[in-house]
Amino acid sequence: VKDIVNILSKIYSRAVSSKGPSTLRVQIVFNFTLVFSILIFIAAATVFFVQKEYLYRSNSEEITALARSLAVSSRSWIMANDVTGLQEVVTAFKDFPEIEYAMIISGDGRVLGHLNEKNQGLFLSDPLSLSLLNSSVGLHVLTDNSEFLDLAWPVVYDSRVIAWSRVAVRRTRIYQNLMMLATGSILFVILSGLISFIVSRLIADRLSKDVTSLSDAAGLITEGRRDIRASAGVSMEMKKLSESLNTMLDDLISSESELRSLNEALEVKVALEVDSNRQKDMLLIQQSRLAAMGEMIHNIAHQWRQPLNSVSLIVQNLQDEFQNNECTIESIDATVTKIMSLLLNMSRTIEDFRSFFRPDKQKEPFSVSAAIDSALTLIDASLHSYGIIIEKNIQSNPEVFGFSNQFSQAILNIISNSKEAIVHEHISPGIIKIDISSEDYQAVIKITDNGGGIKPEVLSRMFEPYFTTKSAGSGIGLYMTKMIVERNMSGNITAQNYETGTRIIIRLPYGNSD
Amino acid sequence: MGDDHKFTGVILVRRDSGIKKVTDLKGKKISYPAPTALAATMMPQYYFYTHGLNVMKDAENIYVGSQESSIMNVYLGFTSAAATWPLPWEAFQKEHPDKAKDLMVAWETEPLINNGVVVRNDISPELAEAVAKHMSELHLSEEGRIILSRMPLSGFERAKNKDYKIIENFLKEFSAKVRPVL
Repeated sequence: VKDIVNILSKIYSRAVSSKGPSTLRVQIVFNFTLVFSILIFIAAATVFFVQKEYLYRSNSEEITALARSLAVSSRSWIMANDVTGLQEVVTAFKDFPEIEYAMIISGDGRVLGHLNEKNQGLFLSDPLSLSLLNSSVGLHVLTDNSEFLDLAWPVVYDSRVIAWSRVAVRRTRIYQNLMMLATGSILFVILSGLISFIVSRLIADRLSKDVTSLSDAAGLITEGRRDIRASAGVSMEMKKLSESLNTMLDDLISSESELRSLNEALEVKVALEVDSNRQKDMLLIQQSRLAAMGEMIHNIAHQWRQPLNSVSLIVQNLQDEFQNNECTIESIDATVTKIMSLLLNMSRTIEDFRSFFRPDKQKEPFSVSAAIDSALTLIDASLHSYGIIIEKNIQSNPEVFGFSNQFSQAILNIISNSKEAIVHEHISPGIIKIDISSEDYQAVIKITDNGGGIKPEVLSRMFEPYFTTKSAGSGIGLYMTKMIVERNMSGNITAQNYETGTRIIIRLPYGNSD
Repeated sequence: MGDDHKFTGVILVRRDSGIKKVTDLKGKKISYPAPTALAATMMPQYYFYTHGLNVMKDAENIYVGSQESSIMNVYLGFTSAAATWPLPWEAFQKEHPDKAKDLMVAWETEPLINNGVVVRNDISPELAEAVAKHMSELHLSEEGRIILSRMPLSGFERAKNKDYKIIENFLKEFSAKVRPVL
């Protein structure tokens, strides 16, 4: 039975687990057949074991009765010492089916009467028989197995055991009977298994037909078909399911159409929004350009103030010389040369600004220090006029990769902000420190001022576009700076309050950042 | 009565028992069919008495129900000697020759008068006489000899009450000396 259960569980686990999900039909057939077969098997096994128990028990009872009967019949003959009469009594049992022996044993182990009279008068000496002689009154089963039964009943006279009636039978017929029953049961189980297989197949075919049709319909719907209708309906449940599927399909169609129109509306909205953003960007660029231009004009004005003053003095000097008749051809030449030199210088200044604001054509490696110098050239005069001192400290001079002019623009924005803070706070002397160093394959630029620092709530938002604390600010400068450092050069920019001012730290990766 | 010479007691022992003399039976068991059997019990017991064995003291008497049982008891070794009389012993020899060959007749008693056929007093003497006549002539015809052979008996002899006086005397002496039965 254990073996059969093992085999069945193996078959079951293989069938259930091996090749992924199986079809409904296979599952119904398999489970139905399995369960039915197991039930029939249990029933057959129960019948077998009940029958076996019954046969052996009734055989035992029968043989016990036989031994008792022999004991009762023998008693008077034993009392009369009539061994001949006793032998006749014992011999009368010889026709009992499958009897192996019947005997009367005296208290000292002597065979008083035996089915085979040759054994009469012999002594029993085997341990089993000897154990019997010393045992108490009552039934004694000496051997009880599937092939043999040997038991003894006492012959009692006057409350005294005077002998033992012992009977043994073979159980071949019971065994044969059980074998036939077992064979029949096995055949019955196999036949039942086959019948349940056939019946479950028929049932499964009927059931799975509807399910398959629904499943096919659902599959088509999944593939995108909307022009089909589910139409299963042998059973009420399937009809209901089919109707539900159709209702769901209708809902799906209407939802899809709603979704489509929503999508279309959304597309229009997005297009409008994108357009509006683009316009904002245009505006931003425009504003940025205007700001840069304003900055440029401001700086040119500072750069030109000195030479214009000189030109003015030279011209006044020339006028004085002419009124005093001191004007010679040499002095005019000298004056023209001076003025031309000053004009040339002013013209170069414009050229510097123009080249600074000219867009870079392509990314290329450039020196951080040189780019910073280029920015300082433009703002130098302006800083000087406010008495602001630049302290430039180069620990190393790394090369980075990107648009040199854009980077100079970013530095210019930062220094302009520092300058404005120092001017606003009336700090004297205003100091802007620029430290250039290298750390972990990165160029690190720290720009520190003593302009009083930034409020914490401003610090966290200072790189956002259109965010400004200045009455005439555009909120674009630092945003552009951040874009240049982080988006165009894959760097990183942070701001913090440091001592009595602000420190901006820029980190840029070395070399080709692409 | 008839075949009186055959009305003896026979004492059987196993050939392998080693019993030679009656006194060898002292302290042993002896089987008899029944206490009242004349030829098969009393006459052997009387024989034992006359040969130096007092059955009441020297041996254990076991009455085993039948002639064959008595023989079987000694054959099976339950007893050391068995008492019977010639007719059952002959029958046993015929029916169980394999067993009989293990046994031997140790002693045979003197004969006594054989069993008699008696009639009730209310039977008419003529009828009794007629039956007695027929019985005593059985052995003269073939048909009669067949009947007799089944008993077996060679023939009936005429007897009178006084012929059985010898039995009365035997019983008196038996009761007095061997075992009280009267």
